[in-house]
Amino acid sequence: MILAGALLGTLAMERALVTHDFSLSYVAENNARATPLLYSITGMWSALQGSILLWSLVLAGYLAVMVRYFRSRSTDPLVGWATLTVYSVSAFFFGLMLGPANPFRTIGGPVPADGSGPNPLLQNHPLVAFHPPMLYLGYVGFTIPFAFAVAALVTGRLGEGWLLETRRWTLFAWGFLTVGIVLGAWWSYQVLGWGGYWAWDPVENASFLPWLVGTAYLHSVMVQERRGMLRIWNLSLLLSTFSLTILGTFLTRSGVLDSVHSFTQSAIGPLILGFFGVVVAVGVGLIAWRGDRLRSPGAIDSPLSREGAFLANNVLFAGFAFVVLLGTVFPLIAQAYNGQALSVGRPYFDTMTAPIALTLLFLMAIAPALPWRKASAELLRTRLQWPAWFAGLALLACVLGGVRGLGTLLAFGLGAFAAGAAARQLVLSFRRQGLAGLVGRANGGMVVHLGVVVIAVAFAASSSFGHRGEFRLRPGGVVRFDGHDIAFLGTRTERHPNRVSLVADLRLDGATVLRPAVSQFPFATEAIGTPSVRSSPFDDVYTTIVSPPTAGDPSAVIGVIVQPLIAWLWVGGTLMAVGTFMAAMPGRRRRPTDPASAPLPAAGEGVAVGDSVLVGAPAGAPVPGDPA
Amino acid sequence: MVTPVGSRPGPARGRPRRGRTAVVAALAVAAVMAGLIAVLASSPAATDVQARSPLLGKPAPGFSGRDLSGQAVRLSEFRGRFVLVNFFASWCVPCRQEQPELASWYQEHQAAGDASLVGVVFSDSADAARRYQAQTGATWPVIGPDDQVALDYGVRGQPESYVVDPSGFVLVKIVGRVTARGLDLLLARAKAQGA
Amino acid sequence: MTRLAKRSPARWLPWVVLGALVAGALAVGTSGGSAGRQSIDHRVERVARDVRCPQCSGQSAADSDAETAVAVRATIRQQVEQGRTDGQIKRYLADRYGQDILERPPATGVAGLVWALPVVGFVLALTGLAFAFRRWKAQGLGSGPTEEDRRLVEEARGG
Repeated sequence: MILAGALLGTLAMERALVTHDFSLSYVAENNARATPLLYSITGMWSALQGSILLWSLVLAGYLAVMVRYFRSRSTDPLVGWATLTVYSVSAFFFGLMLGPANPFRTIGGPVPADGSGPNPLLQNHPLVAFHPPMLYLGYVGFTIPFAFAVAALVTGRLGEGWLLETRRWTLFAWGFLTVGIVLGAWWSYQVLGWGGYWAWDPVENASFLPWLVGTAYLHSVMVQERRGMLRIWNLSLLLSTFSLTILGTFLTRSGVLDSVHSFTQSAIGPLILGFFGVVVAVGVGLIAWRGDRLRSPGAIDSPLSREGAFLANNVLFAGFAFVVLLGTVFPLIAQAYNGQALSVGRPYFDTMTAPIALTLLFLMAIAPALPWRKASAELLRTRLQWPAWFAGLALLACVLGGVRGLGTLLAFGLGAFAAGAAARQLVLSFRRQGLAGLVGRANGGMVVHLGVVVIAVAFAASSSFGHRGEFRLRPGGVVRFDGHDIAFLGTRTERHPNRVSLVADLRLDGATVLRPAVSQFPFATEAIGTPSVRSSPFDDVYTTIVSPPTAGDPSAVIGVIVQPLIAWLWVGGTLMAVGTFMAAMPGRRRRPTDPASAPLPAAGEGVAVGDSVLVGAPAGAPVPGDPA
Repeated sequence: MVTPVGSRPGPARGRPRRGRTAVVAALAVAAVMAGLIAVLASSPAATDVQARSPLLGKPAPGFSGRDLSGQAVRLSEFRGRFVLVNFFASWCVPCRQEQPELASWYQEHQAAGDASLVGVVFSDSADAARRYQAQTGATWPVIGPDDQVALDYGVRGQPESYVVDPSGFVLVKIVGRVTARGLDLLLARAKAQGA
Repeated sequence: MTRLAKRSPARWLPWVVLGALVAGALAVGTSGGSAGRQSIDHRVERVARDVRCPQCSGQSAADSDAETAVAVRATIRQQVEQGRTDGQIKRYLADRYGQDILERPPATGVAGLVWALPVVGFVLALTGLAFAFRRWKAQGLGSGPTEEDRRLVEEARGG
């Protein structure tokens, strides 16, 4: 029913946008007759009220799927509590639409003949059709595991496998969020004109915070599954992930922080903040109430073990999230304390998160090799041998190739180490069980790790070796920059239904033609620049018009930014998506809720033996080389 | 927050300590969150914050140049009167909205001799500004686009106005459009305080 | 594998070699200083990256093509050519635009908290972990047979 309502609302809004029904103030502000069809459709989520409508639609969709999936257990009070929680969250968002964020509010006065059109930055690239829905599928998806966590705490049934059953939901939500964030970075790279893809902007941080905590959760829940430990951590992480999605929504929509991504301000800020307070209070209260039931029967024997690594992982990701959150809200705190105005920008985040990121790379390298319970030096030596040598040689190659700088070298070296460890795991699985053995959680996870390494290396490379320059060129002029020749052929004017563009034609290296532009949209006060990029596996050449030619001067100032390995960021993102998909498929492993000593389902495989024998291991210990 | 151990039948004093840890930790988290929410709830919108300026109470950065009609203009020649330094652009909507207010304020105080007005073109071309001034019947001196002046005053957008007192110190910075009445109130208060 | 063989230097040697290789590579990679990078363009970009574009929401003066950003870059270039230090140039801009024009919060006063808190948090986290591990070890739970277990096994073996 809720889904039907949400669908109806969505269809109504889309119809209004596509038919340019300007009697709705939302349509008048975000659509115009000249707006192309694609951007009329995406106009639904281009501004505040519509985005709440999208949120409600996705939430209603998830609710419907959840109810259907658990219908055989619908009489279980735990499922009931979970459903009730999701209903409450839905009520909040639908309620927002009834009042302050009403997308169907009609215009007060006469119906205008034409609307003002969407924000120019939201109508010049097709990615606007993918990034918000993906992001919302991720963001909103965390509501379901949160609801189950609340239900488990309320009913006190914390020993059963509920969190483990909902693991796949969390994985899907996390996967969508990952894809959404990567698409967002790609989109801002293609559209904003500064040549970067991640600026630690408050809105970007708002989407990153739940991702960080969600990643910690996905890893830490494996310890709960294996040894029944870290339950308070897991519940806290899950509750925090959802709380951070609400906090992120507040930061994005309240206008308290200046951002190139922010929506227009409105009165819903205080309401969302109030909801955040309620969510935090409920979460904290529940954990305090049920804290005594969460004590686990085991202990972590040694820091040098898989459990120890996951615990360190939790601490690192929590620290990462803390730093990002602190940096994002600190200007507000300083202002509230003594009125001083200060900014916390990219340099702060880059400096503070680099050590954490490098440590995480290191952890990614050694954790798959660590056995459960306790590791011996000999075991580690054997398992890490190939990855370590790969890393050492890669580091040597980089230094010989001219790479300098401690941070960059560490990123490349540790990245190679982590990639080696992940690849080793995948090769072992392939040798043991063939191609079919590659699906399942452990190997999917290794592919995701590979994706992360690729992104980390690309990030380090493009940050350290990117160069930017500005050149005043006359038509016919050529400039050589960072190994590329850019010839300025001239400019021309293009007229489109929704804008007038001044386009510069550039020829790159005698071959590719690049067309950066400056466009004037009818209701925008300033012209919007559109970059033109040539991507290759090696580097990206990114061109913009800094100053167009004027009446008296035919020369133009062309901006050029050359950054290596940018394309690999998107490859890494794809790898992460593929890995998530692989991890979601049921592998040939035991079900998560079976005890660790249960036999593998496939007959004939028995207990596989890895590439070394654990000397002196107690009986029933996990098999060496066994990643999960 | 680490998971303490022990479901072994241990000494009875273990149980209250464990339960207390959870409550204490939860209360600590709740306190921090409450503080954060309080800060977020009381934060003004980012756009309202910019009227703070490090120039307040300091000598106004001087400038000298030619206005749009070619006449020499210097800030120091306004010493002894209040001056409103107004940064604007012809395409900016709030600038257009404040233009009549500025005009009437300028006329009144030019006659009284206690305050004057100097415009500075920001993010616009001199030609467009000249046309705009002619269209709106503005008669006060306007300096053409000057990056150094804009930088000296720390201008981030338009319209922004700086009120300079007769001794040459910056009194107040106003972000957004001004009204004649608002300016008069400012002046009256400054005079009362003995500026 | 006897204990002796496990301890033999042959097992550790490849790792020592690898360690030396890595250390050497890093030493070479971090030496040489930044002599080549002191060109005017580099310095201008380095300073501009630490300054916000005055009229944009969130881009640095190095990244943005807005008028004020271009003006700020020109001013920085002028001052670099006059020989002023990075700190002096940033202070010049902060005196005009306010402290929030700088991308990096100052390290003193209340603002210093944003730098200090993560470090403090890290130290606290490490101490917390150390305490937790020590407590677990002291409680003796986990791997390794206890005396009781050994006695049981001895009994079962009939010894």
